[in-house]
Amino acid sequence: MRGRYDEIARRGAEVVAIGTGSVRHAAAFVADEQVPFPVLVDDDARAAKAASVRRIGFFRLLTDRRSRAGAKRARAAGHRTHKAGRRVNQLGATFVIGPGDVLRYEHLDEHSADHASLEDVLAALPAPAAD
Amino acid sequence: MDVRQLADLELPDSTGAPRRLGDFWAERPVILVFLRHFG
Repeated sequence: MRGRYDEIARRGAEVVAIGTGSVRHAAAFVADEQVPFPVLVDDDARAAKAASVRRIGFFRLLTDRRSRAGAKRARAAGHRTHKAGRRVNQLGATFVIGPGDVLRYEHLDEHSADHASLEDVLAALPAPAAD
Repeated sequence: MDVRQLADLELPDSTGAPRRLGDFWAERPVILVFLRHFG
């Protein structure tokens, strides 16, 4: 998402990330990774519950081949986990919302290596208003 | 997923300041990403 942030901003949209952990961990993530968009902390899972973000059993988290392969790919690409947060079994999700309370797209990850297609996310953004 | 319920939630940002979620998408589209972890 960071690699396409300029394009997203040019289209009049914003990115907001929500994670688990503490404000301190979020601040370290923003500084270390030079994250250009707002990062929020949902340590009590209120937002995750409202968004129906999935959770996964620990056994499946540890044994799912797709998750293990995804973790291996991420490590090989140089990604590292700063802090797992309180709910390591919470999966990710991606939504496109707005303007207003309009849900345009949702992808609820099915396993830890499952992510929304960036092309699908960008396609869900409304066309910029004509000048 | 209930967007209005989500919109009314207030969460701290990386500076600790409270941010109402609905304010982000009131006037423009937002790509909202739930991360499994920071980093």
